[in-house]
Amino acid sequence: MNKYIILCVDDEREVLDSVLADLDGLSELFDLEAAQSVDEARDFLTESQQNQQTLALILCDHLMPGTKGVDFLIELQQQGEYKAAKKVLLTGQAGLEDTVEALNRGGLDFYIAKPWQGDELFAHTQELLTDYILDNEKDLMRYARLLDAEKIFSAIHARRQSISND
Amino acid sequence: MKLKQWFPMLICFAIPLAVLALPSHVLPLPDLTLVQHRIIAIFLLAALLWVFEPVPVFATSLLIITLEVVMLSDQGLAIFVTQPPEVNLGQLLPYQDIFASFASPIIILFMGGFALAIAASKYDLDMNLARVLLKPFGHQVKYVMLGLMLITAVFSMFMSNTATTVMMLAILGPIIACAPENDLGSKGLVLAIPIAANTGGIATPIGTPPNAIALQYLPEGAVSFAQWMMVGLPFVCVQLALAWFLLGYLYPSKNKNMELKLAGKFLHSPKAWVVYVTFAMTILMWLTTQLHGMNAYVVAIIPLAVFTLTGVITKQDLKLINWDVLWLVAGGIAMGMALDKSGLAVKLAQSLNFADMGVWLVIISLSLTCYLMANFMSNTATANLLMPIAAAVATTMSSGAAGQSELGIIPVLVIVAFSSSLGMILPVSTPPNALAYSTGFIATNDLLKTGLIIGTSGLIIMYSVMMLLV
Amino acid sequence: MTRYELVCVHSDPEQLLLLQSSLAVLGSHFNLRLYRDHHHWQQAELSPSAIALIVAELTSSTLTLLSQHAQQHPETPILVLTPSELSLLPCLINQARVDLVLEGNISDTQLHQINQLLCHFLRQRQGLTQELQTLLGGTSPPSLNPSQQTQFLDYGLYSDTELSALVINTLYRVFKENDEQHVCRNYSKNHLLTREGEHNNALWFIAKGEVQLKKSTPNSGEQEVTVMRSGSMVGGMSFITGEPAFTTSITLTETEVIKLEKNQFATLMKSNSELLGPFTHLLLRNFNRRLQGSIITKLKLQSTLQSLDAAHAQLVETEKMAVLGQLVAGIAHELNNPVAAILRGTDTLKTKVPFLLDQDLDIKTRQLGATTLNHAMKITPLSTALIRQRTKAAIPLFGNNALARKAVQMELDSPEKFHQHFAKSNPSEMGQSIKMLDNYYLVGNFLRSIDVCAKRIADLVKGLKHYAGQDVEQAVFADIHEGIEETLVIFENKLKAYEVIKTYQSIPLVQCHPIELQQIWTNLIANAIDATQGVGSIQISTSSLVRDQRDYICVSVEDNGPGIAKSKQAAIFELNYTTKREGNFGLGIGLTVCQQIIKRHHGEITVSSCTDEENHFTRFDVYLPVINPIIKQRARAENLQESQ
Repeated sequence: MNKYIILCVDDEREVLDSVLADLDGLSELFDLEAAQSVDEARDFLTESQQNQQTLALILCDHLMPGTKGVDFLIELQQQGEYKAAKKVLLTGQAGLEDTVEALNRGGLDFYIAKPWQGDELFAHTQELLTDYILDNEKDLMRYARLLDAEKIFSAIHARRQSISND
Repeated sequence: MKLKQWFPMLICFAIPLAVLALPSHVLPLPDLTLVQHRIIAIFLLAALLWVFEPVPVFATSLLIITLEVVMLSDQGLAIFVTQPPEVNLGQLLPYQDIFASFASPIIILFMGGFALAIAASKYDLDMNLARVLLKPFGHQVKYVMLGLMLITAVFSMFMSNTATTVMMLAILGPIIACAPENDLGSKGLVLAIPIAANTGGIATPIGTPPNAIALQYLPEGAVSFAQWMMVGLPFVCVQLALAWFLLGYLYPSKNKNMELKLAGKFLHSPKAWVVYVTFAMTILMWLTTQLHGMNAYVVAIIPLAVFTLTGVITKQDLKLINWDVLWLVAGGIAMGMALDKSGLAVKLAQSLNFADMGVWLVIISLSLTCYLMANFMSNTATANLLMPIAAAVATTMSSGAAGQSELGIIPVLVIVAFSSSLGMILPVSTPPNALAYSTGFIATNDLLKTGLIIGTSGLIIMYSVMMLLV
Repeated sequence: MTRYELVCVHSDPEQLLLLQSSLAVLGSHFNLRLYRDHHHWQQAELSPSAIALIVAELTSSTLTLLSQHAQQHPETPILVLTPSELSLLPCLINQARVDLVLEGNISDTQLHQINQLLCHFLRQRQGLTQELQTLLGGTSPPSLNPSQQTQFLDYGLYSDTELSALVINTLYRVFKENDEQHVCRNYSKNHLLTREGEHNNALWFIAKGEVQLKKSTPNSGEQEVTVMRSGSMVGGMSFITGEPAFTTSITLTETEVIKLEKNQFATLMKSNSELLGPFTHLLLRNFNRRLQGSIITKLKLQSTLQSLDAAHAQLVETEKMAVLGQLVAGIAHELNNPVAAILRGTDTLKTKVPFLLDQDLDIKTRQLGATTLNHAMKITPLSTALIRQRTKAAIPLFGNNALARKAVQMELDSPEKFHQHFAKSNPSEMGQSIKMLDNYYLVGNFLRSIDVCAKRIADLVKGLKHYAGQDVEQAVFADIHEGIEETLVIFENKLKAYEVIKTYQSIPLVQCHPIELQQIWTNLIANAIDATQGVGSIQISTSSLVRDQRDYICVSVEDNGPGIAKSKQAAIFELNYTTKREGNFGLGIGLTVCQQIIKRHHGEITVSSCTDEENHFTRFDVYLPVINPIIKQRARAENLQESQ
C-alpha cells in the first residue's frame, strides 16, 4: 500500500478507464483509485484516511449526477486534510462561472479539456505531483524515478545538509 | 501492535536489569567491584539498544551518559554513592570526566568537519568543484563512472559520507532517470556512489566517526592526520580500483557514452572566497602538523571560528550541524572512559586470556565481529562498542606477555576502524546505501553482491598487509 | 527597505480608476502602478522582483507576460479580472497561476484576500514589517500623535482614513479644553445638516455615524447621492464657495460631529496654523474623490447607454440564434465524452497492439491473454466500488495495490485462479506476467469502450437527423415515445443532475409530422431545465383520452421549478416573452413556435403552474388527436419567419 493516492472521478466509465490507463505509469508509487461519483469518492476518502493514506492529487470531471466536480473540489479545499492535494479539472463542460468558482474557492491547480492527449495528461500530472511531493514529503529520493527527476534531485541537493547523518 | 512495538524495548531493559540484580560474585570476573558491575549492565544495555534500535542511536548515547552520572559518578544518586556493607564499591568516577565526553577533542574535530561541509554546500563549493573535476573524465560511461567514484571518495574524506552521496546522486540522478528501464549500466553508476562514499571515508580521521573513535583510544600524538592518510589512502585507492573493475564487469552499459550536466558557476562574493581559502587552508594544516605543531583537533576549531566571525555560518546554519552524530560519538567516549577508568577493561581483557589465543586469532576475530556488526547496525555504534574492548585487548597483549608485542596497539585499532567501514552489504548498513537504495534504481541483491565482494576483498587486503609487515 | 509595487494592467481607463480607488488604502505603503496595456508596463522597466501584486485584464498578450513573470517570480500573487470568455483562463491556470479572479469593483472579502496574499508574499521575502502587517491585517490605522506630523510634512503619504483621522483628532484635541462655542456635537437620527438650494454657513466633520446626501429629482422625488461615514466632511463645497448647498444632508444614525461656523473656522486656522496643511490637503482630497467618483459614474453611464443600444439590437438576433446555439452547444457537449474516450482508446491501441504482436510469448501466456482480451471485450466492467473492495481482498495474494487492481479487472483474483496461473511463479515473474496480461485486457476493454461510445454517437446522430430532415408532405403514423426518447438523448448531459420520471402509458401511433413534434418536446424540456436552474426533477408522462368523441393523446412535461404566476401564464405564449437571461433558450420564440405547430396539428397546449412555497411546479400538457389526416405542412424556417 502506497502512502499517497491519486483519485480520478468521472461518471462515464469509458472516460475513467482511459484516464487510468494513461496514468498507469505512476501506479508503482501512488495508489491509483477511481470513483464513478462524488459520493463514492467521499466514501473512499474517509476509508483511506483510516488506512493512513493521503490524497496527493484529484482529477475530477465537472458535470456528473449528484454533486458537481467544482463543488466537490471546493468541499475538499475547505477540509484541512485535503487542502494540500493538487486539484485538476478534466472536463469539456465547465463554463466560465464554474471555472472561476473552482479557482477562487476550490484551489484549482490545473484545467484539462476533453478530449485530451494521453502523454500530456501524464506529463502534467507528473509535474503537479512533483510539486506536491516537494512540498509535503521528506523522503524525496524514491520519487525521483517516476516524477520530474531533475527538479527532485535539485531539491534533494538543496536540502543535503539537513539529511541525517551517521 | 502495541505489544510488538514495546517488546524489543522491554527485552533491551530487562536483561541488563537482571544482570544488575545478580550478586557481584556470581559474575565470572575476579574481585568485581560494584561500580564495575554497574558498568557491565550499562554496557549490555547500550549494546542491546544499539543492535535492536528500539530508540534512535543518539538517544542511547545520551542514556549512557545519564546513567553513568547517576549511577557511577561521585555526584550520583545517594544510594549509589554510599558504600554498602561487605561489598567493595570500587572507585567512583569524577562527574566532570563523564560530562567532558561532550567536549572531547574528537567532537571538536567533527564540528570542524561539519563546519567545512556546511560552508561548502552553502556556497555550492562542493557541487561546483565536483562538476569541474568531472569534466576531464569525458563522456565514456566507463570513465564517467571512474570520475564519479574518485570524486565521491575524495569528498567523503572531508565531508560526511551522506552529504557526499546526496550531492553525487543529485548530479547523476537526472541522467539516470531518463535512461531506459532495466539498463544494467545505470545500476552500476548508481551503485558506484555509495560504494565510493563508504570506502572514501576510510582515508582520513574525519572521513567517518569510527576513525576518530579509534584515534580517541590511541596515545596522544601517536598517529597524525597525515600518518593516518598514508595508510588509509593507498587502501582506499586499491579498493576503489577493484570496485571499478567489478562494477564494469557486473554491470556493463548498453550505451557507450553519456553526458552529465556539468554547467556550474563558482561564486565570487567575498564570503565565498573566505570559504574557498579556509577550506584549502584547513586541509593543508591538517596534513602538515610537523611544520606548525598544531594537531588535527586544534586545527579543526579554526574554520569554525573563521566562518562564524565572517558570517558565513549564521545562527540558522549552526542548527545544521549533525548533533545526533556528535552525541552518538560522545556516548561512545563516555562508555570507553568508564570501562577504562574503572579498570574493568583491563580486567576483562586479562580474564579472557587473549594472550593465549594468539595475536592473529584475536585481531581477525575482532575485525570480523566488527565487520559483521557494522553490516547490520550503525558503523559508529559498532565502533563505540568494540573499540574500548579492542583497545584493552591490544594494551594487555602488548604490555603483558612479552615476545608477542611486535604488534602495537595502533594496527589493531586501525584494522577495527577500517572493518567497521567495510560493512555495506544491506541498504540499512550505511546511510549512503540507504539513500542509493531509496532511488529505486538498485535492488537489495545488487548491494548484497557488490558489498560482499568489496568487503571481503578489503578484509583480505588488510590481513595480507599485516602479515607482510610482521 | 524596498518599497514594493502593485501593478494594474487594464485597457479600460474606467476599470483602472476603479482599481485605483479600491486599492488606494494600500497606497501609503506600496507604489500603485496603472498601465493601459502591457507595453507601458514593459517600458516602465520596474524591477520584477519588487512587484508584490499584479492585477491584470486577461488578454492573450497579458497572458504571455504574466506567465513569463510567474516563471521567474512564482511567489508574486497574480489576480485577474473576470474575463469575458473562458478560453484564456485555463491557459493562465496551466501556464502560470491565478490566485484570485476579481469582479470589477473589489468587495471587502476580496480586499481581505488580497491583503492576505500580500502578507504571504512579504513573509516569503522577509519584508513583512510590523507596520505593514497592521495595514494588511485590517486593524485600526496607526495612531497619530503631534510629533509625527512634523515628521511627515508631505501628507500624500497618509491614506484617506489616516489623513481625516489626523484632522479630526487634532480638532478634538483643540476643543477638548475649550469648547465654549459648542463645536463638538452629538446629533440624533434624522437631523438636518444642509438643505439643498439654501445657503450654508458651517462645515461638519463626521467623527462617528452616518450622514446621507440626497438630491431632489425632476419628478419631485428624492434620490440618494451617497452616504458619508466617519472621517468625511459635509458641507465643504458650499462652505468654501458660498454657493447654495448642492445636496440635502441628513443623519441616518446617531452621529458625532464637529461643526465649524465661518468665524470659528477663521479663528481656528489663525490660532492653530499646524492644522492648515492637513486641512487643505483633506479638503482637496475630498473634492478629488468626489470628482473621481462622478467621472467614473459618467463613464459608466455612457458605456451603459451604449451597451443598452447594442443589447437591444442584439436581442432580436440573439433570440433567433438562441435556439440553434443551445442545441449545437448541447450536442457538442454530448459528443465530447464519447469522442474523448474513443480518441484515448485508439491512441492506446496504437501502441498496445503492435507491442503485443511483437512479443515472443509462450503458448500458455498467449492463450490466457486471448481469453482475457475476449473477456474484456464482452463483459461490462465491474463498478469501481466493487473493484476497490476486491482489490483490497486480493492484496495479500498479489503483494501490492497496483497488481491486485489489475488482477481484479481481469477477474483473475480469486484464490483458485491465482493458484492456477500464478502460484508457481515468484513475485517478480508474477508481476511481469500480470503486466503483460494487462496489455491484453486494455486492448479488449478499449475495443469494447470504443464500441459503446461509437454506438452512443450513432444514437445521437440519429436523433439529430430528425431535426435536420424535412417531414414528408403527408402526415405519418409515428411513435410519440420514440420521439421523446430521441430528444432526451440530446439533453442527456444536462439531465445528469435531474431526476427524470417517465410514466409512459401504452398509446396508439399518432398521425403527425414527427420532426415538427420533436421541436415541441425539445422546447418543453429545455424550458423545464431552465426553469429549475440546473437541478431538480422533471416528469414526462403520456396518456390517451377521448375528447369530443375523438381519440386524443396527451403528453405532459412537468418541472418542480418556482412556477409561473397566474397573471403571467397567458403572456408566455406571446411572441418575445422571456423570463430568461440572455443567451439562454428563448422562451418567447420557443413557446410561440410550439403553439403554432400544435395548432396545425389541431391540438392544444395548456399550462398549469403553482408558485406555493411547498408545492411549486409548472406543467405543460400537449393534446394531439390520434387520427389527423389534414395537417398543413411547413418548413421550420418559415415558422421562424412568420413568428417575427
